[in-house]
Amino acid sequence: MLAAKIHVPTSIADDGAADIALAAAGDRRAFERVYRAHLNHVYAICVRMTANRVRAEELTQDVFVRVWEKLPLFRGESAFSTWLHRLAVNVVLNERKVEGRERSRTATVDEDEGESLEEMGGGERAPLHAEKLDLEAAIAALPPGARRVFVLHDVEGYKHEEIAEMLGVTSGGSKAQLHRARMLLREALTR
Amino acid sequence: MNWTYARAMLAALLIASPLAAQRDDDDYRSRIDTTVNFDRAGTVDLSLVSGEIVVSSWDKNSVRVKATSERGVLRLDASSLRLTLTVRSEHGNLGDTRYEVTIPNGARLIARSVSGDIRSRGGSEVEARSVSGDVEVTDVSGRATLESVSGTVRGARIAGGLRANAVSGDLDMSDITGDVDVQTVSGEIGLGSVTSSYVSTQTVSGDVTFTGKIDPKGRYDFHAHSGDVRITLPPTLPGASFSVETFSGDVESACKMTLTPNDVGRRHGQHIEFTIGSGGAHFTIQTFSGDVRIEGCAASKKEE
Amino acid sequence: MSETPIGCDAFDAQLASYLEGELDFAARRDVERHAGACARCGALLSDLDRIRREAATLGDLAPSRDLWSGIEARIEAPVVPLAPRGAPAVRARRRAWLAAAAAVLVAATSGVTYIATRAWLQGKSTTTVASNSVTPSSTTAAPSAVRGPDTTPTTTAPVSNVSADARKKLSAEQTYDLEISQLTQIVQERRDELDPATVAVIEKNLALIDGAIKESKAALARDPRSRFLNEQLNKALNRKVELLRTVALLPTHT
Repeated sequence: MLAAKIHVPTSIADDGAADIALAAAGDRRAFERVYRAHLNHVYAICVRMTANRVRAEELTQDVFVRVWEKLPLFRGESAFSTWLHRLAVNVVLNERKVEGRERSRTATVDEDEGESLEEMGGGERAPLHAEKLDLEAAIAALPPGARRVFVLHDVEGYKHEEIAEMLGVTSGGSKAQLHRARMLLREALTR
Repeated sequence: MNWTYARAMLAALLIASPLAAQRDDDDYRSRIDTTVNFDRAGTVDLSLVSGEIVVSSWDKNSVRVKATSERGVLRLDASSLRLTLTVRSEHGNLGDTRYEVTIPNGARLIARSVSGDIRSRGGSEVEARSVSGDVEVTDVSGRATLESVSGTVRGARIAGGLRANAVSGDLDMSDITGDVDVQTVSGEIGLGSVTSSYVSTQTVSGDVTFTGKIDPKGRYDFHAHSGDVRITLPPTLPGASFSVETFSGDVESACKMTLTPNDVGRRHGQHIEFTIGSGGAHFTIQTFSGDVRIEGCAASKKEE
Repeated sequence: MSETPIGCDAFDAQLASYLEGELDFAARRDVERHAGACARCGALLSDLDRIRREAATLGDLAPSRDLWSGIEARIEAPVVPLAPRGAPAVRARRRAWLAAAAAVLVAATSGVTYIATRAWLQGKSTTTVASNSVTPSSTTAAPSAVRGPDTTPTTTAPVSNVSADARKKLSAEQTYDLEISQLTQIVQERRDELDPATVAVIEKNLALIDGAIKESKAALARDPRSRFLNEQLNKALNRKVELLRTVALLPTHT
């Protein structure tokens, strides 16, 4: 319910806390503003982890529906964006069809097996072109397991302990997948 | 000591003090003072019951909202394309509410009140409606739609057409460009400096006055029942045709004219048709009992 | 401090830990020293470090379409009511019903009114009219040689889907009478919800319009085939209908 007296920050554009509070109270218009403020990052998480734009759009909608449901439970112990992005990751990870229509440039590489470092490294190679467009495409081409860890760690900044908990693996396993992902990306970007 | 008196005084003090403090802190039950980023082509929708809506415009991608309400609860909803400001009551009586809003020049404005006055300047399209409040809208780059039941309706410098409706309030419009459609029941209609190829006015008992530029292909209709109609033509009018009818009113025209035979079987009223210059623009002026006065025409061609 | 420089194998084995910042000072120095001396390992370290840094700066991505409508459709949010709470809830529901009824009535009858008006304005001037009635001729009248004014009353709504049979059944006056009657009933029921001053203004102006209708009808009685007088009557009737519609849909004063 709205308070008897409303004091709105000088600029709503600079302070999302007001919208979050209103949205948590059931204000759909405020929630739409929250959605628009965070849409692109949520979508980025979804598309990078799934490598499927269409599926990522569906998952993005799933994320915000879940946000709407859980927003009253947001206590503010962490930054809202931290809470939101973690929720987005959880939605994606719970998605069973994340590997549905994947295109992989390293299609022969199984998620649980990978090229050894010896196979990946060595020899003359071209200079690394890690321009952002190439990097995005190379990330999308990673095997699902390596891609998830790489996105969570190097793009989103989660620690291995957190990733291990999310993915149900060990911290060592997360580190190994990360290294593998970086090596595969290097391979893709220096062809 | 009169303890009863003392207790009463003490009680009065205790009641007065917090109320005084409350009055300082809570002069308004609700208050908003904020600026919101906003798309220049967005829509701003303001509504209140009683009080005042004052809108101005600026060349910024934002909306400034200052709102106060004596006893109502304000609600502001805003996205980049739509901003809505309303007030509701929790205990029946809203008291007075005041909105001061600044919108982007190109924004669309909807302003509605029951008894509150509405004053706005700017906007690309404006709808302003009140039941008993006055409505004053100026400097609209597009179309304006203005309504009041008993309030006065004023419009000026509206560039994209005008529709205005009042019941008992007067309609006072000046410097209007585009199609014009104004109606009232008992209010007066004043149209000045109109540049339009289509003008339609209707009133029952109010008077109608019109001045403006005439489009050679335009159509200008003035209808009144008991109200008088007074048209002032521009002196350089190249041509126009007139059909003037009244049942029992008088017709005066500075233009030379010839009475046409009455309709078959009609024993009352006058029906006058005449042409100025090469014709072109068509005027239809009809009243039941009101008088018709046409001024400004330089010459006319008699019609037999 | 290790005396012996590490080789590529040891470098590869420690590279992941190095990038994670898990190596102690000595191990870290060994890796860096080998990377400085070995082109292959140096390039590898540089590339992986660059990938890590570039990944950290990847920005947001925009979906190909606005996803809000799909989200909005799925969330169920209560509409914050503007009506007063408590006892007036019943009144609010009735008011909503009345407003809805008025809107439906306006929508349903405005087309009929329009058709009746337009048909009459185009009606033939020689149509036999009931002797003592001021009723405009039937809407089934054939188009007239007399050109009616082109002014379409702005009070009328666009043509509705009223069937030809329906139009034939109602004369213009019957159409107006029906609509005025129904709207008047709604307006009467809404009296208590409107500001008394507004009610007074409306009643005064309805009386003015009724006067205009009466005068027009009286004049028509003496000249029933007058196109002009029929136009005047229709305009007055339209004005009354429009005023009643406006009142039926007015917001309450609370």
